[in-house]
Parts: sequence; structure tokens; C-alpha cells
Amino acid sequence: MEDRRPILLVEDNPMDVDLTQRAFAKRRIVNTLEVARDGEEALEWLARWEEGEPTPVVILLDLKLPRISGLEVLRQLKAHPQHCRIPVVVLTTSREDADVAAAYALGVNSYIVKPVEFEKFIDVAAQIDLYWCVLNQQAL
Amino acid sequence: MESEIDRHVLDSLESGLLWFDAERRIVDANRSAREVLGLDESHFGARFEDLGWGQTDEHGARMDAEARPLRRALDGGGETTTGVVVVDTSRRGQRWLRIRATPVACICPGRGRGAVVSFTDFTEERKTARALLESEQLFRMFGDHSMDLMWIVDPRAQKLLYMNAAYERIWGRPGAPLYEDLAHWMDGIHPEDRQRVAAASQHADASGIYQVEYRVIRPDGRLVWIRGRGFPLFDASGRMRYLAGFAEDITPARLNEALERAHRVAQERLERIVATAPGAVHSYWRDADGRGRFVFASPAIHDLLGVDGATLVARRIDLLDLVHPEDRALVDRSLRESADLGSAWLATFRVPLARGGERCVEAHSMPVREGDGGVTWHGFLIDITDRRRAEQEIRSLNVELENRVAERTAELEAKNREMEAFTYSVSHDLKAPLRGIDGYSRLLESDHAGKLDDEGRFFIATIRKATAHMGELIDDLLAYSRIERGRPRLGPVEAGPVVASVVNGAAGEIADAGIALRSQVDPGLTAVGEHDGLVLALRNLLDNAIKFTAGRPDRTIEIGARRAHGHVLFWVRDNGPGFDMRYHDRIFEIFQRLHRAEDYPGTGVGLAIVRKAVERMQGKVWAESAKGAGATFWIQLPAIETAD
Repeated sequence: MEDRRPILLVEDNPMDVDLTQRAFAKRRIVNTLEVARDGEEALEWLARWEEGEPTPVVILLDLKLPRISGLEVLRQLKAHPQHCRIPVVVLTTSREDADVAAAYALGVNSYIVKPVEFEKFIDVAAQIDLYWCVLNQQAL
Repeated sequence: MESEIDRHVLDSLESGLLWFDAERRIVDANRSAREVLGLDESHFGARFEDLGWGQTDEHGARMDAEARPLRRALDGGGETTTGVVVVDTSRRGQRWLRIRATPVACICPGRGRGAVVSFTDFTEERKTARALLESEQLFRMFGDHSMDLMWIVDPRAQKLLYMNAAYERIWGRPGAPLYEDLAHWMDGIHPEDRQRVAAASQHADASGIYQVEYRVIRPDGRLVWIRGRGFPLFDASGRMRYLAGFAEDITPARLNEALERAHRVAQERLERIVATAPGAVHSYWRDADGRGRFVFASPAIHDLLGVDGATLVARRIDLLDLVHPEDRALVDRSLRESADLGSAWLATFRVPLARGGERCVEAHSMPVREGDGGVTWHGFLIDITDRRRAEQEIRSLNVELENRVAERTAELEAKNREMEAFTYSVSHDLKAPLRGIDGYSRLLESDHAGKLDDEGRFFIATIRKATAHMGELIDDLLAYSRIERGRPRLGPVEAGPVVASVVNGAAGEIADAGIALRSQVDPGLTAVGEHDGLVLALRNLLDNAIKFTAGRPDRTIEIGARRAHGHVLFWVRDNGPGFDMRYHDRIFEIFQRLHRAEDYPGTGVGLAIVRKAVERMQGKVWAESAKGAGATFWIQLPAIETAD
């Protein structure tokens, strides 16, 4: 059975947010897409989850963010006693070895490079849906 | 007895005449006899013995009465007798008389027989002869006491008349042969000097005096230096009678001279050395308690210590008092050490100068222990002020250089960081809009197709193609710039696995395209390089080959590696269109393309990436081709020789 909890997208580029929503729609992904527009906003979610808001099924995290960087957000999420178990997928343009290595060192669950072509981006959305919203939940 | 005329004749005779009667009483005397013997009339009638006149022989011995010529004439058989008698006269003293006594039958009328005595008086000659003898004896005694040779020669007879004993002493030869033959004179003279000696007497000056120095070789082999002087001796009439001379042994003087000359030469040489020596030459003495003073200092010391050498010595100035106060302990310690160990004194110290500034002095001297318990150091003091300054300059230059290198390194690192930040931005910020362009174009195409005509759809397709190309360009550019970063980590890279992994990476594409791929790698081949860099280079070459064989019949690609003269050669060969070798260098430059994009797609970065990756590994890359005949790309890296 599918997990209907929301997906948290941490992304500062409105166009990317829109395209992600559309790609998800194309794949008929029904989970609500919550959006944090920068690192600070992302971390504010920690408090909301404490207050009873449902935790996301997966967090899609861009690395290049204003104010607090994606890697720092990742570090704080993974350092959290309870919420460290929420899966985090880095979704970024950077292919830099240094970024990949740093993200895995901080305990990221997956690292996906954003493709330029929209078809490939739809494929990425499909993989996320399949893996994190379907297979992962069944495994649990 | 005689006539007046007879008397005159008898008185005019040189010889003395005496008449004696048979009893030897004087009867008469002629004028000469009266004068010589101091006789007058009063003596007549008396015998010599009556007058108290003694008679001796010429040697001064008493004469027996019988031996006297008068007695023998009177007592004999009427014969004339002769003899020499010395008579002591009362008035004229001793007279030396050569006597002739003749007996006569009648001395004068009435006096019977008697004798006539005639005589010549040689008293004066005799005195002269005596004086001469005495003077000659004196001369000989004088000569025998002389250290110098004295000689007299009769030049007409070429006879040696006199030579003192010095000859035998100095020449070491007997003198007798020279009396025999004067030519032996040359025997002892050094052969080289003989002609000069012979010539010297010919070149006597106006007064006839000459001087010559020559060598004599003694029979014992010893060499003796002689100074000879010759001069003529003249008689009363001013004619030259003899040649005489002296010869002096001047060997000791000569030796002294030679010694002095040697000494002078040595002294001059020493002075020259001292004058031209680097720095100052000095002798510095210190007593057992460490109090010192200069014994000698060459003029150059003034430049070093600011005090001239003479003053240093005269005022008994101690070096330590001239040394910079901070360096005194060091100098004192080094001197003590040198004295204790007998080792060279090597020290560097500063000397403040009265006119301001200071000198840096280096000492190199050897200690000599003296009898007085002190030590004298002989050696050099060298001015190393300039050297010191140069050393300091070099040191400060080095520091400056290091600082500059550090600065540059920091600048470079900053540039690198900047570059990284730049490429990071490029990868994010340049690609994000592309995603928008492509995404919305695609959405337009899929969701609003109904509102577009064919031309509209063609525009959208073109926009999307351009966007994809832009994406590739950005990716290649990033890959190219990524090669730059960090230092190459060179190590052994096995050729076999590298080629295999590159082939495997493209296996699907090769199979799909129907390309015949041949791979050949020598076994056990290991190159020095960077694994990732080599993979990147070979993959780009392979991609290149795939791209350029597109549309060719019998598409064939060869890839491999082999050993060649200490190197490993990798190659990728295709049967594509090839290229004109004129453009060989251009194809490795970034964004350089030899073909139209519609014929062979690409960004023009691939071969630039290959070259950059290979050069980073200190390898070489080149290509061989001809238009229409395919191309072969080579990569050369150093080989590691393996055991097999």
C-alpha cells in the first residue's frame, strides 16, 4: 500500500519547484508536496513535526540554498534523535565528487543529479515515487 | 926614502898604505891610511897593540897573532899575505880592512927589513850589508805573521823572489814549485777564473795597481774565494824593479754576502707575500694569563683594526681591546682553546671602527708555544665584512623569495578555490534555466499540442535540441575544468584492466552501432599515470572513434597498448574520414572542430580533455591520419618494467 504522507521539497528555485510538481503530476504521484524555500525554512519543519504535523515520506533536498546550505540542513536532520530516520534524497545539479562524498558522509539516502531534459526528470520522479513512496513503505 | 913626487903619488892612492918595521912598529902611512885609521905622526913608532888597538877576524873572533897577515908576512919566507882584519882604532872605531902585506928587505934607510901593508877599507859597505840583512829578516818575520799572502816577483826573470807561508795555508799547496816555475801559480785557481785573473794584471790602472777576485780550489776540494791585489815596486831611479802583491782569503765575507743576499731575497719575498696576502699577516702573543699584544702586523692590518701595525706593536695593544665587546668572550675562548689543543685559531668577530661602522674579521692562525710560557699565533686576519653582507643579503633574499613563493602559492590556491566556486556556480546556475527551457518546451509540446501548428512544433523541437546541446557543452566544460584541479597522483596503472574497463563502458553502444572492435594489450604492461585520467582520456578517444565512424561502411575500431622503448603506448584507431595532418595541433585545442556539427555532433571539448589529462600525467598524445584514411590516436606514458 502506498504512503500518502507528504513529500518535503527543499528548493529555492520557483521554476524547479513548479517543474517538480508538474513532473510528479505527470507520474500521477498523489502525495502532497510541501515546499521549503531555503535551509532555514526546511529546519523550521523540525519544530512543526514536534507539534504534530505529519513527518514526510521523503525529503528532496537541493544543496545550493540561500542562507543555510543543503549540506548543513542534511547534517542537522541526520543529527536529530527522532527525525534522523526520515529518508533524505539529495536532488541537485552538482556532479561534484566533493558534494557527493560529503552528502554520503552525512548519511544521505540517495543522491540524484537533476537532468536538463524534462523526460529524464519525469523518470527521476517515477523512481522516487516507486522507491520511497511504495517499496520503502512496503519494506517497513 | 922617497922623493917629493913619490910622496904625492902615494898620498893620492885610494888604498891605504902602511909601512911597518920588523918589530911591527908603524914607520909611516899615506894619506888614505892616516884618514881611515885616524893616524898621525904621534902614532909612528908604536905597534897596534901598543896603541891598544885590538884585532879580530871578520866574524868578530879574536885573531891569533900568527894568523895575522902582517905577522905571517914578516915571519914567512918573504911571501905576500892577504886577509881580512877588523881593527879597533882609537879614533875611527872598528874598521873592516882587506889587507895585503908584502915583506921588503929595507923599509927605509937605516931601519932594515920590514913590510908594506896596503888595505882597502870596506867598513861602510859592511854596515850597509848588515842593515840590509836586518831589514830583510824583519820583512820575512813580518810576512810570516801576515794572514794574507804576500809575494814579490822579478818580472824580467819571471822569478818568484818571495812568498810568505800564507800561500801554503790558504792554497793548501807547497810553495816550492812556484820558486822553480812561476807558471805553477795558476795550478790552484778555478779553471773558470784563470783567464780573468791573467787579464787583471794586464788591466792595471795608471799606477800599475790591479785587483781581482777569484776562486781557488784546494787539493782537499774546498773552494776558497780570494781577493788579490798587485802593484809594482820601483827603484830609486823610478824604474820598475819588482811586482808585488797580497792575496786575501775572502771566503767568509763571500759566504756572509751570499747569506745576506739569500736573507735579503727571503725578506723581500716575505714582504711581497705579506703585502699581497689577503687581509693582514700578524703575530700575536699572549702570556699564560691571557694578556696579549701584537709582535708583528703587516700594514694591511690598519684597514681591519683601524690601527696601523707599527702603533699596534709599539703600544703593545691587545687584540681583545679592539674586538667588539659582545665578541670578546668568544675570541678569548677560541684563543684559549687553540692554545690548549695546539690547533688552528679560527674565529670570526667584529671590530668597531673609530670613524664609525664596524668590520667583520676572520682569523686563521697557528699557535706556537713559546719558552716563556706564552703562545704566539702566526697567521692571517681577513676582512669578511663584504662577504658577510653578501651572505646576509642572500639570506634576506631567500626569505623574501620564500615569502613571495608562499604569497604566490596562496594566490594560486585562492584562484583555484575561486575557479571551483565558479564551476560550481556554472553547474548549478547555468543548468537550472536550461531545465526550465526544456521542461516548459516539453510541457507546451505535450499539453498544448492542439494549439500549435507544424511550424510551432518544429520551433519547440529546435529549442529543445539546442537546450540539450547546451547541457552537453556545460557538462564537457565542467569535465574539462575538473581535470585541472588538485595535484596529479601518479602511480602504477595496469594497461590491461584500464583498456578493458573503457571498452566495457562503451560495449552497448558499440554493439548497437554494429562496430567491429578489436582490442589488443601486451600482457604485464604497467604505465606510470593516473587511473582516472587515463580512463577519461581513452574513453574520450573511443567516443571520438565511435562518433567519426558513424555512417561508414565496415565500421572498425582498434584499441590497445604495447611496450615501446621504456614507454607504454596506448592507441585508438578508427576507419573514419580521418583528417588533414595540417590541422593536427588544432584538433587538440578546446572548441576546435574540423567538421560541421550536422555531420559529426560534438562540443569540441573531447580531444582537449584528452590532451589535458595526458599532459597532467607527463605523457604525450598525438594523432596520425590522412584525409579519408582513418585516424590513429596515441598516448605515451612511462612504463614500469616488470619482472617478466
